[in-house]
Amino acid sequence: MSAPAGILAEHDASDWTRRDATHLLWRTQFGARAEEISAVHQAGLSKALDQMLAPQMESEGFVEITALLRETALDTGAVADLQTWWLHRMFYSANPLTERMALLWHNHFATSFAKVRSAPHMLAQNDAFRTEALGSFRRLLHTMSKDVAMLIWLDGNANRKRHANENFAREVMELFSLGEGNYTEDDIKQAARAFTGWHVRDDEYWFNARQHDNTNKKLFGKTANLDGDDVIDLCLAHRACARFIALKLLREFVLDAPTEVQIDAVAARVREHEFAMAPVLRELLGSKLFFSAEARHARIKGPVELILGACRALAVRPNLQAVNQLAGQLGQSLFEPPTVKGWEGGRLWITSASLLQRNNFVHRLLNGGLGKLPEPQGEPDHFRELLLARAVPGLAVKTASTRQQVHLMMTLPEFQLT
Amino acid sequence: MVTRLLTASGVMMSMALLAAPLSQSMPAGAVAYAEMTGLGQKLQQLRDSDFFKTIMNSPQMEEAKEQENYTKAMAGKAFAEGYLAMDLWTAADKLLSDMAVGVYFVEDGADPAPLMVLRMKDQEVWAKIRERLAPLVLLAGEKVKREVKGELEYLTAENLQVVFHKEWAAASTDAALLEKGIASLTGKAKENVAANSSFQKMEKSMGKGQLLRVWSDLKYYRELIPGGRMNLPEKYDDGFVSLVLSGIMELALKSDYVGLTLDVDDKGLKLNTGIDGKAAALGEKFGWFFSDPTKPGTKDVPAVKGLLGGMTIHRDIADWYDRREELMVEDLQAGFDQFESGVGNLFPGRDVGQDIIPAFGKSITLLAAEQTFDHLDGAPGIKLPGFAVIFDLNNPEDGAMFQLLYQTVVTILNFAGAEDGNNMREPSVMMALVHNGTPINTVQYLKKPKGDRLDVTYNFMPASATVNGRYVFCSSLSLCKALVDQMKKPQDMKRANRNFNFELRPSAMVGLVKQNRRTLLAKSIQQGKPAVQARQEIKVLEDVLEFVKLIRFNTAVKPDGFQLQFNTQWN
Repeated sequence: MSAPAGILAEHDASDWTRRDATHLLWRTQFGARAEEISAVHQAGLSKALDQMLAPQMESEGFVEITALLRETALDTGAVADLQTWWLHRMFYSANPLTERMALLWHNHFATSFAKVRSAPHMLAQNDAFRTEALGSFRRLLHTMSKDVAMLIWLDGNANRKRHANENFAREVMELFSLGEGNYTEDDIKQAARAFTGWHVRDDEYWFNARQHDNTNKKLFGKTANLDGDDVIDLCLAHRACARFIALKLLREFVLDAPTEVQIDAVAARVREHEFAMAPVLRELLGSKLFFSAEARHARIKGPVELILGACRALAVRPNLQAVNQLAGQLGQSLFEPPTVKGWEGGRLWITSASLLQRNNFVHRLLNGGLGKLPEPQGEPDHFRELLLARAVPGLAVKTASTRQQVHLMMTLPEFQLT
Repeated sequence: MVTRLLTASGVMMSMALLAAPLSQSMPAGAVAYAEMTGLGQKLQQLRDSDFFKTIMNSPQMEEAKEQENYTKAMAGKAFAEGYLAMDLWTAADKLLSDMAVGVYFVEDGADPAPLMVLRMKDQEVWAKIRERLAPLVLLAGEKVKREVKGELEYLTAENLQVVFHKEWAAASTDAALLEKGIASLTGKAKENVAANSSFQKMEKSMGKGQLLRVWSDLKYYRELIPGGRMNLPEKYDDGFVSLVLSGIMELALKSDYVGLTLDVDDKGLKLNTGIDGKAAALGEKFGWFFSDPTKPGTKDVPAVKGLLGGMTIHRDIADWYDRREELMVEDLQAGFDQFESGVGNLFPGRDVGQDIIPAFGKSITLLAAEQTFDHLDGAPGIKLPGFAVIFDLNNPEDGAMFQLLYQTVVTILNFAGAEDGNNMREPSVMMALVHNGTPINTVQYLKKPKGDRLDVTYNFMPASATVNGRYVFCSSLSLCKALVDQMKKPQDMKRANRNFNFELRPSAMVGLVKQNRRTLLAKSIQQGKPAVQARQEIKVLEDVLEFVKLIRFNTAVKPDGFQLQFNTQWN
């Protein structure tokens, strides 16, 4: 197996700074506390990445509370309880990179509770995202094609032998594997026939043999009696698939608008590792590109990332109901992406209204409105590095209290970026 | 000899004044008056109670202690205790005997002035505290003027004058009023609050000797506010207020007083409010509001097993509805028409105003009680109590008309379930069964729902029956059966002399809390509370609920007035 080169060559270990550690943590979990930054800085890049990518044992308390919140979501069947369950995982899990990847896949395979209306199905899908978060995209794509929530979401039961429904086939190509421009309308029609009879019955995936089209289909130059799994394998083998996944990874972890060169470089590694996420992420997160000036402060924080990140940095034990409500107001209700395309993110997170709301959130946070706030202690430089990880000319206001300084930093445009 | 007799009679008079209610020592002319008796003793009882200890040791209290206001209050307490040289509980026990506040209009057109009197329990302690006041007065400099006149020590500040006597203290913002108070307290005044005829009426109706008594002279306010209706409109602009409160408000307009008494002992708390006046004097316009004081009015909430609470209201709704144009403003009338056309859809072929409303009798009961889930193969994830509405039927045959409504509701539920698509509620079909000789209409699911965390909608299994001329509509079949059993018992046939009755049985709610403890715990943790704290808070909630046996609020029409009673019983 070849080693990554060029922009994906390994970041120089001798040049490992505390600011690098902050950058790495803000990108791979939901914010970072000062002591976490110190620990990662001390451990060095390689050890830090090893730790992030290896499953960490969860604490007994976390396991107990997570189970309780999950049971409650199943008891009530309410989406708000699903949301707070996941927010709890994102904030308290010892495996935050797994949760970030689960969020990436949730956005990728955007399925909404608004239509599925079932907590157990949404939870099962979310579990699958977590299982394959650092595992295989290949397996995940196959799993999603038989996922009950997905089949409900994309009208699987309406896909019948003599009346194929193209919803799922279209999204498999457009949104899940290839991206627009890499398939034809006929490809969708052929693929839809391959997925006929992939239904839901008694809350489980059910292959309805009587409604499956067993005749030949022609897709990407191959003609055979293809079924859904064959279609997915053909999509994965398509050159565009690795590029599509590379684009998603770059936008999630590196920068909002990656170049073709950057996409190609990462796509090559995705192919090299046959869609296994852990090795691809190890290379990407340890690369020169990831720590380049171009990649710093190049992503606009999503609402969940912004709110939980700020709580984590300031050591607030958040009221997750309030966090959930706020994230919804800022445009990111977990388990309820707005469309099949998910949250487009990037610059679309910021509007004149949402920017005001983001600043109001800071005011609320610093006044204890999201949970008890320990009085900020430390020099302004400490908070500047913790919250902004960059120099900001003219920032020091000597007459202001530490809390006022923190407020000022968190309402700067720079704080919206990571 | 004469001197001895005079001295003896003076001592006896003083003792009599000490033992008598303070209303006899407060000057006449009060427009409002409040009196507390034996407060110190009640505070000691509170401090020694398990309930108080539970609250003080609760995590909610620990959280409150972190608030700035609590810190300020504690600083004030520490200052006061340092000054008194004893903790506040001891001070309350040693000092607080009787306390009274009267409000007086000293001059026409001027703001009312209060007069407050505190009768001391332990005169030795009171003497020491007065001594400790001296340095504070000195520190105040010219802001407080001190003057001693015989047995009385006057302290005068800008807006307040205080007088200390060895047995009592009095304070007022008005010097002349204070002098009147002193005259009353020393037995030199002829008239006092207790001699007021309106006050005496209240005493006669509501009794005396309670921990707290409050009285207000409504005649005075009626004269003070032009129009004689104390700014109340002739016609009400809120239908709910009209139905629930208007009769009381109208009666208060003709009443001489409004009185309130509060009493607390180790078994419970009683809060009574009373107004005088004859309901019949309001005429037919408000006849629908009041039950006949000479006859029993409402039935109690049926005491089914696991009863959590309920309410019964006596109203002649048909008459109220008929008089709506007379009782309520024009703006509301369109809403009634809208209501008629909306509800009319549920009663095809019937007119709401002519057929439906007149079918209601004079008593309506709403209740909630624990339910079982025998009709399911499992239980809902969130377990709710069963709910029921019971109303008297003017004609028992009208039960069939409400059966029509029942059928419509079941159909709507089936449609709503189907709209849920993949996660639909199991369809149900109507069926009838006979329980304890009474036909019950209910539904049966096509397939018995199975699972330990079924959707919350499975808490609702509509059932209805007609029992002894009363129509029963329940959200639960098990509750409907329990109501049929209970309402057939002779004791349930009795009616109480109440116009309105609300009761809550918190100790019965403990079971419901326990059933849903996991959800309550999760909700608390979602709010950012650590698990340990969340568990403790639920335990405190259970303890508090367990402690309170009954909370009851009811109103009663008496031959000479109207009373509102709030009653709490604890374990």
